Amino acid sequence: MMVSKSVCTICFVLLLMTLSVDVYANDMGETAFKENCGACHNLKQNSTGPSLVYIGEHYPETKREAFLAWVKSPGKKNPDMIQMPAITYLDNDTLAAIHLYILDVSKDQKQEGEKPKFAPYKPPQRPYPQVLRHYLPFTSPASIAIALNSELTVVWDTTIAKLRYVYPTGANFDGEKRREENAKAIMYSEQSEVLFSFVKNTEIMFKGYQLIKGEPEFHYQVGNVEVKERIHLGSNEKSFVREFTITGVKHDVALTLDHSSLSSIRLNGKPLTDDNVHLSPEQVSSFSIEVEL
Amino acid sequence: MNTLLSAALLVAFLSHLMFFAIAKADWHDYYAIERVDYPIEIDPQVGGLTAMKDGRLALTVMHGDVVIYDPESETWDVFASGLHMPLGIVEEKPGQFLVIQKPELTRLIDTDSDGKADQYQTVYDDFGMTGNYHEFAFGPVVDSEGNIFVALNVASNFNGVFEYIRGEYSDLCPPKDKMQQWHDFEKWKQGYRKKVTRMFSCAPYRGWVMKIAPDGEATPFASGFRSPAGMGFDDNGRLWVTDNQGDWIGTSPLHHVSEGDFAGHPASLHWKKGWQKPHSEIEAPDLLPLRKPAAALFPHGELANSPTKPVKTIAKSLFGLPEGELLLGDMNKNHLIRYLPDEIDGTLQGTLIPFVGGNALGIGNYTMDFSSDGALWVGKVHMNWAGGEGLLKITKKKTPFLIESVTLHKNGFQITANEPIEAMPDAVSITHHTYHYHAKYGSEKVDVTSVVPAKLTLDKSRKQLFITLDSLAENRLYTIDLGEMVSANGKPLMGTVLRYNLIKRAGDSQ
Repeated sequence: MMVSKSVCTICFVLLLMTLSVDVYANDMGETAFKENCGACHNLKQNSTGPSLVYIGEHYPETKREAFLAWVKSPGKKNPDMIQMPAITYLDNDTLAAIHLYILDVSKDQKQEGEKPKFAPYKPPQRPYPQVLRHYLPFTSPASIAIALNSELTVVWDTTIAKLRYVYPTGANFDGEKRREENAKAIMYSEQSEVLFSFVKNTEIMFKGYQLIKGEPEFHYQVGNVEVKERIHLGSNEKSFVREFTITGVKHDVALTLDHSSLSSIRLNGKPLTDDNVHLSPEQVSSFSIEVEL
Repeated sequence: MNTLLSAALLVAFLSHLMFFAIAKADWHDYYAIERVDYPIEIDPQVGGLTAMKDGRLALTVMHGDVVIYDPESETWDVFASGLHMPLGIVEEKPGQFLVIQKPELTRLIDTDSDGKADQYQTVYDDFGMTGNYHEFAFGPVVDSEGNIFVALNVASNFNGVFEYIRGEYSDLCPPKDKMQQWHDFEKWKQGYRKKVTRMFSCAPYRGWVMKIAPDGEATPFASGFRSPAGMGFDDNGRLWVTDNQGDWIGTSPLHHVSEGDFAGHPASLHWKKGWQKPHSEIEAPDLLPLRKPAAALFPHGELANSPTKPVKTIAKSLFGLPEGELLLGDMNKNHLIRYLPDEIDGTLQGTLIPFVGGNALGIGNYTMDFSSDGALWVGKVHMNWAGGEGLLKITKKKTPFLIESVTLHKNGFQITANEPIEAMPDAVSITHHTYHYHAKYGSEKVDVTSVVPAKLTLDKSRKQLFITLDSLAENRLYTIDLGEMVSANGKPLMGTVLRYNLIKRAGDSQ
C-alpha cells in the first residue's frame, strides 16, 4: 500500500509537471513573441531592435493601444537601429498577448549596456592602391573608389566611364550621408561628364577592369573605339597619372579637362595651358595625363 | 475508485514518459553541426558560397572580398576584393568565377594562376540603380545551356534616390527631384515619403529576374518580385526563386519561375512593355489576371520570415534526403526547410517541411552548398537585420525517419515515409487558410478552416499514409500536422508539420 501511495504521489507530481509543460507551451504571448519578434529583440540588451526592458518601460500596460499602433505602423526611434517591419499580419489579440508577455518577462529586469549583436567588421589594412566599389556622393551608384595612397582617393564612375573627383583617403565618403561636409573635402573634380569628344551622345559599354600590379586599368567601348585607362600614383604623393591606350579612333579627338581647384595638369609630361586639347588619332592611341594637386 | 485513479495516473505517467521520449528526439542525433573557426581578418558575413570542384569553398563576404577556404588545411585566401556587396558566386572553371555584386554581374579571372583575380570583367550591368540602399542584386544561377539568371531587388521608401543614378528614371514614379530630398530623415518621413509606395521600382528592371544569354544579351525574364533573395535550379532545369513577406506579399513565397511570369509585386510593372499605370495607383484587381500563384508558401513567423537560397539535395546515401529536392534556409528561423514539389497538370505546387534546427544552427542561414563529400556548408549574414555570422558544416550521422514525398490525389494526400510507420497516427490535424493580396505589409492568416480527415490508411509496406478528405479546396495552404509518429524501428518522425500549397486540385487520374 505504501508503495502504491508513493507511486501515486510521483504520478500526480509528474501529471502536474506535464500539465504545466502544456500550459507553458501554450502561452500564446510567448509563442507569438518567439515566432515573430525573438530574432531581433533580447530581454535586457538592445541588439537588432530595442530590449524588452526598453519596450516595457515605454509601453506599460496603460499604453496597450499605443503599442498596437506602433507595431502595426512603426517609425524609427533609434538612428542606430533598423526600422521594424510593420506587423499587420497578427490580430489585436495576439499582439496584446505579445505585449503582456513582454511586460511579464521584463518586469523587475534592468536594461544592460548597449551591446551590438555583432561586432562591426574591421578590414585589415591592405597595401595601396585599394580598389573598392561602394555608394559614393556626387557620382552614380555604380562608381569605384581607388585609394592610391593615404592621401588621394580617385572616384571613377562606370556609368559615364570617367574620373569624377578626388577626395582625401580616409574621409567618410559613404553614400549621400554627409554631402555638405564631403563637398568641401573634394580636392579635385572634373566639370564635364565627357572626357573624349567621341563619347558624346554615344552609348558607353563599361567592360570592367584589370589589376596590373594592383593598379586598375578600366576598359570600355564607345562605338568602335576601345579605351583602356590605367590609374596610378604620380611623381609625388599629391599627384596621379591616367594612362590611356585607345584603338579604333579615325578622327581628331577633343579632350575636355575642365576642373575645379588649383592643380597642374601635364599631358605626356608637358604642362597644359588649356583644359581643352585636340589630339590626332595617332596621338590619342597612347598618352598620359598627370594631375598634381 | 482507487483503481480508476491509479489507472488514470498510470496513463498520465506513461504519457509523461512518452512526452520525454518524444521530446528527446533531436536533430543532433542525425546531423552534426560544426561551426568553422573563422579568422578575424575575414568578414564573417557570407553573402555567397559555392563548393568548388577541388573541394575548397569560395565565399563572397559583405565587405567585398571573395575568399577561398580550404577545409583540409583550414587556410583562408583572399581571391578578389573591392566588390560592392557581393551576394552570390558560381565557379565556372578553375580560377574563374561569376559573382553578382550590387552594380553588376562580374566574371573574375585569375589569368596568371597566382591565386588572385586580376580580371574583373563586367558581364552584365545594363540595369538601373538609384542609389537606394535596398536595390540589392541576387543570383547568379546558370542553366544547362549557359544562360545566367540574376534578380534585382526593388527600392525601399525608407530612403529616396541619389542625385546621380544609372539608367532611365521611370516617368511613372514620383518626380525625381522630390525623391532626392530624403537626407533629413525626419522631414522625409513626415513629408514626401508618405506619397511614395513602400517599395518602388524607378530604374529598370527593379523587381525582375533577368536572363543573360551566353552571347551577353540580356532579357527581362519574369517580373513581380520584391526581395528575390534566393535563386536556384533543380535537377529538372526548373528555376526557383524565393521572395520576402511585405507589401503585396502576404507571406513569403517560393516561386517556380518561367519566362513571362508575374509573381505578384506590382513595382516591377513600370518596366513591362506597354504598362502605363503608376505603381501608386495599382489595385489588386489590376493584378489578379497577371499573377502566378507561388508554388509554396512559408507561414510568416512559423516557418520563415525571409527565406533564402534554395539548394538541390545530393545523393541520399550522402545526406539522407531524397536526391534532387530543394533545401532552403531562413534569416529569422533557426531551422532549415525542405521543399517537396508536386506537379498537377503542369502546375507546380508542393510541401514545405522543417528540417535540421536548433540553437547550434542558429539564424541568418543565407547561402548553402553541398561539397562532394556530402557536407552541407552554410554561410550566414545579417546586414544589420536579424541574422547571423560565420560558416557552418552540417554532416549526416544517420538517416532520420522522414517524409519523402507528399502528393495530391483527387480525394486526399498520399504521404510517403522513408521507413515503415509503426502505427496509424492518432492525432493528425489539418487546417487550410489563405492570405490577403493587398498593398499593406504582410497578411494575417485568412479564413483558417479545420478539416477532419474522413479516413487514414496505411499501405502494406506501411510507408504510405493516405489521408482521405471529403473535399479539397484550391488556392489554399494546407497545414497537415502528423503529430507524434514513430517508425517501425522506433525512430521519431523528424519534421511533422507539412505545409502543402494547394493551387490546383488533382484530376480523376490522380
